[in-house]
Amino acid sequence: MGEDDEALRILMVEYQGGSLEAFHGIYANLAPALQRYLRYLVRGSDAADDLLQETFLHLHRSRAAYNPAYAVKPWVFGLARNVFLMNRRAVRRWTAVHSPGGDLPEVQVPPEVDRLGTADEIRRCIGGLAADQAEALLLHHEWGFTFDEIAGMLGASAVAVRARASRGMAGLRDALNQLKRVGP
Amino acid sequence: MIQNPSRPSEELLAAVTRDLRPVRPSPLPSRQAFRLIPLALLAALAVLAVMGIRRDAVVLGPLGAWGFWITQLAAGVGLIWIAVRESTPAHRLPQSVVSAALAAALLMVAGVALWTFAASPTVVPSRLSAWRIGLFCGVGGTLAGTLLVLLIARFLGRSLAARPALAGALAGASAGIIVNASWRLACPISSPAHSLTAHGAAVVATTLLGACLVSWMARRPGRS
Repeated sequence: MGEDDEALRILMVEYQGGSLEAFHGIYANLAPALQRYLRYLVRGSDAADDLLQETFLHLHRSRAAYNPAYAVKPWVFGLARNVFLMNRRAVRRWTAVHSPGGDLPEVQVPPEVDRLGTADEIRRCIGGLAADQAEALLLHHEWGFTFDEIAGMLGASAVAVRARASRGMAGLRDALNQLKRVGP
Repeated sequence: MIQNPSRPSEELLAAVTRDLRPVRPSPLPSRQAFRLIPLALLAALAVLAVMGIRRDAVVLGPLGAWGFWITQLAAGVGLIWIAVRESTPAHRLPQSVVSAALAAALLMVAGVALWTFAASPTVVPSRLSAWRIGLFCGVGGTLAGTLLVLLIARFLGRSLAARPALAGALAGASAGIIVNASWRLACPISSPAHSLTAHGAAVVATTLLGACLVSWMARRPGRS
């Protein structure tokens, strides 16, 4: 568990003890990254804002379900993903998410490829990847989760998640190289 | 328009401040499953207490009777552990592991039924209706499993599963297998035509019931 997550864990325990300040601390720490993740899941739709509020509402109602042995960030991201999947409106969007080529919301560019193209080109190429590869790639490179943590969030083995992220990175490099060859 | 994520909405804040009572953290999934062992034992023993033990239990031997009984209970508790993991964000097991565990548990039940027939082949007496006996075991096993699945679902009430139907199916299969462990020891008929259809139907029914129940609980507004 990293230092950041240790601080979040302490906040979470205080929140379970009834501290409103701790809730504000957790919200301030996690909401910006969660919003970006949810915007990625709903392909940049404004539904991400509703889902963000819904995620924290679920977090509040289910705060007792958190065990202090868990790392907070993956737990909350996993909860956000579940909220997204459970949301009927969002599930309909999920169909759209799985059709490649949709607009990708603003996500940070993985440093491994930031020299291969402009930020816009990279985002477009990530948008062209298979959804499972893009999600594994971004969860690891943008949000910094370990493959074990991602595996627990997605219900896959760490080996499979690593392979998805790796294939995603290879696909991204290929797409960017192809873009370069075609030229402007 | 992107909402400023650094501050919670007023509705969210109102919901949080309305209920800030201290809560006790959930135990880890393994401990949650461990806590259900007395309930599983109680349910299995209740079936035996009501139905009695088959007359040919001695023929099955201690391993065939009680060894398989304990094995099936352990499989049921194992499925509960997987269901709790499935309900815990970021702690899900790989889909392949979940499917394999469920399939293995159901195959084990079928295997034990076939072994029982091989060890002590008893069939429905010709003077009795096989259909009625089958109905009795199917409905009885389902009713007993229903009670257990209700208790397990209540225990899993805080399920945050992405796929509540799967978590519920695991819980239902667990209840079905636990009840079936005792039902096999109580029912005097061991022919595969009876045990695989009537007893198997009860396991399938509780599995489906668990899936429906937990899905319904997950859809309820304000679930916690």
